[in-house]
Amino acid sequence: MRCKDPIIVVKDLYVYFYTYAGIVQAINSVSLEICRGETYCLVGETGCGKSVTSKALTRLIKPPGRIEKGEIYYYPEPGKKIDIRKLSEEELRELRGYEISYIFQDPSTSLDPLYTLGYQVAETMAFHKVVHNIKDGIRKAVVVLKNAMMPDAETRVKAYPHELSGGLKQRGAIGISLANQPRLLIADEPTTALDVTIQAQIMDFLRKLKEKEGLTLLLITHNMGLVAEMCDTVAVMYAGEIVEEAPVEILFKNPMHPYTKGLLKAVPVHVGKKVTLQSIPGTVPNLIFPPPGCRFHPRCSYKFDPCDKKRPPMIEVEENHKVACWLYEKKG
Amino acid sequence: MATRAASEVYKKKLLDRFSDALIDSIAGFMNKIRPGWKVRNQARVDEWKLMFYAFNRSPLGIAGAILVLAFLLLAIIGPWVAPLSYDTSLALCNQQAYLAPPKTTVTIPGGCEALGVKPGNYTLYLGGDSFGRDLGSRMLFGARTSFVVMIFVLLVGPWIGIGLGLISGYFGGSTDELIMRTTDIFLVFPGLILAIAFSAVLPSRISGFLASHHYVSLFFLHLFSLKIQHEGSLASLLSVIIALWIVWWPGYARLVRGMVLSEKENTYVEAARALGIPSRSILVRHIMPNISGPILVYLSLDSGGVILTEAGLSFLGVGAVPPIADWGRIIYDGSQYFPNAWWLIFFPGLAIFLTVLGFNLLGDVLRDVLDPRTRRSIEFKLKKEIEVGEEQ
Amino acid sequence: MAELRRFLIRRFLTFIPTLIGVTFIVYLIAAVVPANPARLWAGGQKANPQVIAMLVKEYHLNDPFYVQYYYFMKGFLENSMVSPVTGYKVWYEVKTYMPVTIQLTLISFVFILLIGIPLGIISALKKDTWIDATIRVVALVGVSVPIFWLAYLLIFLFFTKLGWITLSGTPTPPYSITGIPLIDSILKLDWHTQWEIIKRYWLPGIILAYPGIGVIARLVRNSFLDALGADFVDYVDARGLPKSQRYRHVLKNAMVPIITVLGLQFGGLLAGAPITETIFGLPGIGRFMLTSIYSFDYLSLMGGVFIIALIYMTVNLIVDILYALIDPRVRY
Repeated sequence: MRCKDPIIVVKDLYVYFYTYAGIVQAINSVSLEICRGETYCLVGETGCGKSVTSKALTRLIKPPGRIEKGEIYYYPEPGKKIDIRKLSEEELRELRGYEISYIFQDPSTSLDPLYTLGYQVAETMAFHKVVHNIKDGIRKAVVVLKNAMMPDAETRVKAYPHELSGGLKQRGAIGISLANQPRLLIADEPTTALDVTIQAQIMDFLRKLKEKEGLTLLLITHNMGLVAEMCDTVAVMYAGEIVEEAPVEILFKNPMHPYTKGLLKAVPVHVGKKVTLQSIPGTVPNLIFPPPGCRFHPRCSYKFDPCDKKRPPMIEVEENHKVACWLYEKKG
Repeated sequence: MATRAASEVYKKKLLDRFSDALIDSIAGFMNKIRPGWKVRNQARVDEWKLMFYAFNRSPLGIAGAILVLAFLLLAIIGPWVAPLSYDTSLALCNQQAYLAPPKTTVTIPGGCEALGVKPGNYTLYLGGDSFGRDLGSRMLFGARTSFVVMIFVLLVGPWIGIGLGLISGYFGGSTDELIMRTTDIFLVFPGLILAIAFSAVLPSRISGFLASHHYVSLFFLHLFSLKIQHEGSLASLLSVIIALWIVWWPGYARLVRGMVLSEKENTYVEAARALGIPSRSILVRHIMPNISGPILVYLSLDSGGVILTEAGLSFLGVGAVPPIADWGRIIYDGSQYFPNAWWLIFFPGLAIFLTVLGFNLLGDVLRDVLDPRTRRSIEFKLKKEIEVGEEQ
Repeated sequence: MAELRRFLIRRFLTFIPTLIGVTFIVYLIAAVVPANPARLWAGGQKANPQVIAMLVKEYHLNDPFYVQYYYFMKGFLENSMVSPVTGYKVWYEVKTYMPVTIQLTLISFVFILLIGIPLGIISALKKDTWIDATIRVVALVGVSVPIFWLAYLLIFLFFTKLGWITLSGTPTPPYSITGIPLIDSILKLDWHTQWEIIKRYWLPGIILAYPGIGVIARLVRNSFLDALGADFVDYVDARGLPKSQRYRHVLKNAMVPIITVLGLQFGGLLAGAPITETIFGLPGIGRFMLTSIYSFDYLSLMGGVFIIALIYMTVNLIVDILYALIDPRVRY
């Protein structure tokens, strides 16, 4: 156990998508732990399964996707354990948006264009019985939006999504997600669709919010700069598997998995001298017919004998630093 | 894998081989008249093949194609294979033929040669009408009428609309305003009434024209497979065609204008403009190919629509005049004897229904096939079959 | 509100050129008739020359077409225009025949709503099952079947075989509020008259509606699926809102395209009415216009076309207003 007081524990999770083209093995034996109060980051390329993992936490996977196997536990308070996979639909519903909230990538599509921001804040509260009814909720929505740093919240409550800029929309969406003061906030690339300046503002806000409310944050991103700035613990995902997990300083100082190394080389680091960006050769594999053994081996320059035959186990190379790579088997 | 042509990659069914052969022969022909065409358009040819693979995997589409081809065949050969002519009134020789139920065998004695009927036994498989004419034969002639009207309507009507829509959408401004206001007027006008009104008043004008242009008259007589003594009825058939041109363009003008407006937003149009390519060239060579898919779907759906409307018009007594065989008109004339002579309504109605259903099925599946997403999914499926096949 | 008023005024102003255009087309049709219309009106070849001369004078037939048109429009708007064939004022005729057509189209429209929309929703919810496939085929049959043929088949079934319908006239209620018995009997709560009318109209109504039912079912299915697949639905789920709330969002979003097409369908019903009215012997405006065409009575025809065009434009105006009410992105 990495955490003394985890909020989420996932063990050996498999998620498959049953498409016309075949069975997509989107998540393959993922295990992770998120400690209460920390910021946990999931990083990886588009399509590596970050979003699917985060959606699986509250069983938001829709057909043709299905959670095949695995355990997901949620601890609302220390010592109190809830088995997410055994909850009824209604119990899950009560959990979502109340204890565990989401922020999605693109606020211009995640908000319903036909309802005002106020209504969408209000319904989130009303159906979790935080307020008595929608009307009541709209009145309270002003406060909620103010808390989410929405300027001029009194008039914005009555605004429709199309009347707001991208940054304001995302603040609105954050307001909606935080309306019920959740314990865990899952932010799925919350700033990818936004301008760089607004990105910084929103990230700043999330950090302050975390300090103030004692919230746990699961941040999903492909931006290594953001990871360095925001995270406590980082998990690197590749092709539906976690390949490396470590505290953020250790990971940046001492990346061990060849994929992580490649990822870090693809980021410009300003250390005074001129740096050349490097890309990782090859493309993300087709997850219908994933490569046997280590899923990264076709792109790996360190590939050797067991890589294309057997899946590497998670090896703890130093304290809290785990890596799934045959290179470190003997050292471990 | 990527370098191999579409035709080599997929597991094919019999129909696929057939459609491949068809497309290859077209490509070969194009290559002959324009050397180098095949190399330049290889990607397009592969995409066409893929469209056919997608089509060949849709039972509904194949059913539609079979219906359409079957009725088209009847329309072409019908007048030659019909046992009797459309105006042969057997009842004049044998009263038994009067409203004869289906499968009645009528014996025609000698002395009726003036009607063009040899003595002998005639079986009216689909029954006879109030003149003792063979319903089956009349329906075969009716297929010809329907298809000729449909083809002539679609050869002109939609294209007026497409042309106006292109101009309206591309140039905008006051041209757009003028065309769209005119389109609105025609859209607001109840279409059936407009068509009937024109079909009712045009014949006198057209018969004057036909009288002075005898070769036009002859051309259409042969096309509709009519006897020379029914030349006078041509005018009303042609009026229906013209009336339907007038009714059929506004929808296309609207549709095409909308599509052009959204295409115009694309950067490729801007780029073409920046390069100084003339407007006409942008419209014809860049915008038109990109909107031709939906237009094709609409044309297919409208083929059924024209047949349906034409039948409706003749059911209301305009267009085909007796004794010309026309499905809608047969129902109209037969409705007086309903419900006793049910066959006079049932069989022609069924023919209209199946023909139109064929075109609608075809159009519906075409819409799917022209959607790149559907094609990609077929591609996936086929590739998977190959890959699984290779593994085994 | 001021915006709405400006919008309404602007739209009403566009009615005028359109109506002028529509009536002008009728004139154009009349201009194509080469024979002297006065002779036709007066009884053809054997017509009394004095009567013809009188008609020519009365309807300004020797004047240029724009003068004729001017006098016609003047007479039409002042309600002094008399049909040369029937001898009735054109407006009186329109008023006599219109209620039948309105009742027929209203009943048809109700059928479209009550059958088309539920079929579409069921089809969407049971996507890719045999139910969906059946509904798809039913819809395709709907747009393929010649309605006059369908009418005879159903008359054969319900009238000849089962005796469920009547083809006789309907009672005229002794009262008149709107002049349309169906609406009056609802307002007066006169269920007897109501029942009589429905008994007479349900079969023609459903036959006229059948193609529209197919169109609407298909459209509802597709727009419902589009709305279900939208990102904001995922967000609704992620916020833990109940199913009812989810369908509220989906339905409202799906309504936007449906309303537009419903307006067009109403126009389709008006345009298709002549055939149904002819088969069922209903004395409606469609049959009236057909009779007018056959007797070259283009003055009566113009009255009919004018009123149909006016109704059609009004329905589309209502559609646009509804559209703007539902979708805040649409401006007046």
